[in-house]
Amino acid sequence: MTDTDGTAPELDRTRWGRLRGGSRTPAMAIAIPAGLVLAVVVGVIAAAMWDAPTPPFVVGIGFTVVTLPALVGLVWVFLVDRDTLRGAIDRPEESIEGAWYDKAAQGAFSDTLLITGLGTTFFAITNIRIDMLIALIGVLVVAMGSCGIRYLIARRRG
Amino acid sequence: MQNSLCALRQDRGWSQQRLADELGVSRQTIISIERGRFDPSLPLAFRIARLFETTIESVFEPDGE
Repeated sequence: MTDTDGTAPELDRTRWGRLRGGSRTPAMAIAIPAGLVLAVVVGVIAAAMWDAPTPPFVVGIGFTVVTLPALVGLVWVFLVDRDTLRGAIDRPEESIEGAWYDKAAQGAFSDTLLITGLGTTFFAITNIRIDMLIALIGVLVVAMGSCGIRYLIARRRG
Repeated sequence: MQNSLCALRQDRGWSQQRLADELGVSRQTIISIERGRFDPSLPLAFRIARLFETTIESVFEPDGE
């Protein structure tokens, strides 16, 4: 059921929304089992490839538990029709929150380029070698941290 | 950019939330536009003008004019 502008009436909206395409199925009804399957796959792969004294089943369970919330969330993002979410505004791209995010993302891109460039130069000159996983986590932390902080600053300024 | 959105809204006796709902944007967006801290996109400016049955240039005025 939709309004004349194609969006669901507020009363028909739910906290976690429904599937895209006009389905009545709650998005979480698919996102949770699908995310669980993906998390188990990640756990099995991690257990099979883990090269350490830790028992493989412990590694598998650990990876499954840690990745489960993120994978459920990821599947939900792809499946949910945002017009069925309670409280969701109709035009987020025209709201100031969208402008704050765009501005924060632009700044974060520059920050990431600058910091990874300086870091690469430093490690090249000093001949210090670090693990690739650590380096990638560092890039991720810089990008997400910069974007988050810049968004909060923009929101505070209004 | 200066604007008369606050006056137009108050003339109709609408709250900021009511106007936000009419335009499909967040209440914070209305607050920021009224304070002159956020310039709306052209489509949003057109919807504002249409909602108040007026023209864009009668709602928004560039700084320094």
